[in-house]
Amino acid sequence: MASFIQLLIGGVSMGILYGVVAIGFVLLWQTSQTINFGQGELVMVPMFMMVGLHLVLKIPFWPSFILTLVACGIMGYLFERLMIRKLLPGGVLVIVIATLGLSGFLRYGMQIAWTPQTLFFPHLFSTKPIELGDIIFSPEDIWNIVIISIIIIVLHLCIKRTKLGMAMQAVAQSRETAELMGINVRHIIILVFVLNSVLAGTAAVFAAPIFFVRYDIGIFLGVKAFVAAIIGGFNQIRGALVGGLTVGLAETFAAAYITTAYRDAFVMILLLIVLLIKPEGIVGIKEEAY
Amino acid sequence: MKRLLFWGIIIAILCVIPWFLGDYTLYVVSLTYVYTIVAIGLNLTLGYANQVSLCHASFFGIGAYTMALLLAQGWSFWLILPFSGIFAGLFGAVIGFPALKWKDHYLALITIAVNIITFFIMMQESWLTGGPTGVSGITRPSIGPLSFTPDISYYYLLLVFYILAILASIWIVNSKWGRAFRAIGLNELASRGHGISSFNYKLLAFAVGAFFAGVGGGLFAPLLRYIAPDAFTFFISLEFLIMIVIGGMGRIEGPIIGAIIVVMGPEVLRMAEAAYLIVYSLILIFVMLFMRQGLVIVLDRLREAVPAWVERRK
Amino acid sequence: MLKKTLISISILSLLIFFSSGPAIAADIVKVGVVIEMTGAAASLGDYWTKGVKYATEEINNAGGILGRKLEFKIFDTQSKPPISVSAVKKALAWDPFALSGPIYSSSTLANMFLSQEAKTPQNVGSENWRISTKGSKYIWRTSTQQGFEIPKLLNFIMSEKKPKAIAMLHVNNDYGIGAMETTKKYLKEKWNTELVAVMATEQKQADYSAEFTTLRRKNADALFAYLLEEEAAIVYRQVQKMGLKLVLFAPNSGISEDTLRLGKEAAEGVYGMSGFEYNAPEPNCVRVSKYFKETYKEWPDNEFMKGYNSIYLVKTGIEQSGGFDKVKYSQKMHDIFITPKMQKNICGGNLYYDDVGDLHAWDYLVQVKWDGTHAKPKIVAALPPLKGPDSGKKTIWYEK
Repeated sequence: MASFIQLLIGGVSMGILYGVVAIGFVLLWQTSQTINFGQGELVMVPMFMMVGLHLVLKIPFWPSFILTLVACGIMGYLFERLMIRKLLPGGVLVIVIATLGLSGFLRYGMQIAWTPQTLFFPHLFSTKPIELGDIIFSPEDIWNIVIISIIIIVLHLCIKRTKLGMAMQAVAQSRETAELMGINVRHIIILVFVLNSVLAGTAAVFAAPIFFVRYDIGIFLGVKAFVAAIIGGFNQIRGALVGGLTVGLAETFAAAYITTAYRDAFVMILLLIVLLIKPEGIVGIKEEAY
Repeated sequence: MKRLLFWGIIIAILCVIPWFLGDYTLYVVSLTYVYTIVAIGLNLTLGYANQVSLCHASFFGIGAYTMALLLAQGWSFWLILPFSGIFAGLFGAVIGFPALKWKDHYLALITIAVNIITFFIMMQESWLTGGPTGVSGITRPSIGPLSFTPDISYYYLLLVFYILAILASIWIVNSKWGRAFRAIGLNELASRGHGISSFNYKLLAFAVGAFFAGVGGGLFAPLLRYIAPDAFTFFISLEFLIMIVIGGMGRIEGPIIGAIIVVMGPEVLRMAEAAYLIVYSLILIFVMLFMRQGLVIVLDRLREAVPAWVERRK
Repeated sequence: MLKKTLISISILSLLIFFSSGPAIAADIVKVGVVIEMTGAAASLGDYWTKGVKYATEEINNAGGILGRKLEFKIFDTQSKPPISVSAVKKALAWDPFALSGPIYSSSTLANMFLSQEAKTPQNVGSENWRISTKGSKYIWRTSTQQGFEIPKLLNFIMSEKKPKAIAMLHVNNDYGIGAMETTKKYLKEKWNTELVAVMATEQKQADYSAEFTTLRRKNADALFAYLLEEEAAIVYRQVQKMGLKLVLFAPNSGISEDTLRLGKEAAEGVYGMSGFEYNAPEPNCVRVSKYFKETYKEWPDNEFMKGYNSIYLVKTGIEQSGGFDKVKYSQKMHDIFITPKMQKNICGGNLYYDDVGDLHAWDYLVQVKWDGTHAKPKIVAALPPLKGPDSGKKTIWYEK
């Protein structure tokens, strides 16, 4: 039983991180039909920014974090303005290839501009283990889960309750209708791209102490987010979260109860099952019939 | 007549260049031929029939492992090669049967999952595939006294298959099959209205595309003389996708141009050392921003421009 | 429209049109460095290349090798075995005297048949035991292979720490799988013990709660963490987070600078084995490490010494065989005992190369100590090699 709870905590803390990266991915897909293969790199870049500001320049944590988020926002804006806006009419495949190019550019650019070595990042929270009877867990995991959950809940409320949020939902459902209703679709799309980058920047700060900061960490995170979004449902924000948790828990439990070697394969088989039974994802909504 | 002369000259050039190329460049060109064959397959499936296949690396891998493992059993290369294609094609059909009910991004996702799972099987089942270490020491074929072990000889063999694959693709595209593929690609609903059983043709497009990839794989194994699961990941499937999109989807020239760019590009760019991958990434973005139908339109413009220029001169 | 296209073509052509390599000069000794410059092992390749650069500078400043200048060229393997094959082909097309690298065992296993066919000496950084079984007379190692390192480490742990239940975490590639095979075999044959748990992990894996839960269930009290640098650091940190009480031991990748820099205080107490340490009681290791620290402001990883040695091995072979004949080089460099007297600058003390190109040298048993700011490897003992003139010598203890 103790093992089970430990595994649960481990799986949820990983899963919620995947989920938060996946949310941005889902937002981009919903509002602007963009499949962003550079999503992982959008998390990698702020990781390096935090190292630069907080560890190298020794700027205290909160100012570094705020600066990083602002920079992320700008990156998101530029991404939309300079690349996506021009590429959208070309169709999904064109965007896939272009974002692949972007991910490569950011990744190898960072390797050359900074370093191919892995950089250290300090824990944000205490790592002294807490013992509760038979169960041992780390406060860091609990804090991660709590804080990221709060961020996601706040995001959810903003989208459901505020006017801006509802405008976003409208654009996600039907662009034409949104336009007819007087919503400035262009502005909403820009907002979504900025939001995505800022979310990625937030994820970066939780991921850095766990994964360390590497120029190629983006590939790993991007794939996880992608799979999470699909399993959970890439046309719903909830889907990203559900997907992330599913992936995190599946990995952890498969590794413990089946075998560690098949950890990733198990997730893939899960993906295949979801795709064959309910391809829109666990909580996704069915799109056009054909 | 002029056309025949033109292509004759091109083929002659391709026959002569190996004598002037270094070992390594010869290898890169040979690899380009192999990848082109796979890309031609993907182009038929995705470029013409619009069925997204993001697991072409798996078909490629199945062909390669079939060749490597059966060669080790003592079978003849010539006997195995069609099987490389057939096994891959059958695998494509088996995958396609449940998968092709879905469309677009759903289909894409299923094929991605297939790719990743086959990769895992390649990695884990070492008793069959040699696991992560793969299979090395693969031998090259021979016909009687003529051995293809020297790199130059194998180059010519690959050149022959390269040309055959291109001719095959031209023939298929202009045949009843090809017309059906294009019809499905353009508008599935409409083609069904015309009595074209879309599901069967989709399956066919998928299987044929996989067949080409399998043959490519069978030719690939003796090229490097070493294969490992690394060469058959989802990222490699993405490379094939890049090839046909950059080259031009739904066009015969597309995979040819695409393979040249994707395989030879980074090698040509290697001069810039570690920066070559950055330049390559930028080229992808650049081409998508400014030439999204693929580089084949450059060829089209040249084809228009040359006779127009000739006209003006008259 | 045409204009736009023409401009696009010209820009593309400019991007693609780079000049070809430098002209070949006579009277130089060329070494093709086939190494991981990008990809998962880029960090290791970076250290190796710095070692190559430093050795080349030193040698050229001292007059070169038998009067000829040394020149190297880098060929990136992207940390991928198939690319390493094409990188070696490309390097061989440059007609070098020798090859340096790669590090990754999978890459070496894939490409070593090429250097064998081309009869070109190749000094690699790989440690998988299979490499020595392929029958090549043109492959040499720059560090002791896992088949020798692991038994030495296991002997120490079993006799000094007497664990009751040993578990093993290994990375799921040739390096890790080879180690797992060696460990299982040796524990069975020499110590009549079996591992209570064997778990394969993936590169870039960050969450080990599944593995640690298994370790708990099996009551493991010792863990052999045969992982690459980042993963090792993450594991140490998680062991600490989870409050697990284990004797941790690792190969050189688990106590290397990269690992210690990332693991920090979590690495305290880990036992490891390495042939090259910056604070080893071996003057050349100390000397080159000092150079590295002054130039790059941090201590080097052992890949730096390995890359450095890969070049000095070439110098040794050429000098000892009296010329630039690769076949004679190969004959001379098998069953050779290289002392600092023979090759002044080479790292690692006395190096013995046997008839399959395996290195037998002293290895250092270290234990990591945390001093508040840095995790440092403290030399516990120097263990003698298993073959060669030094093999009969006794273990030297530095602290007990």
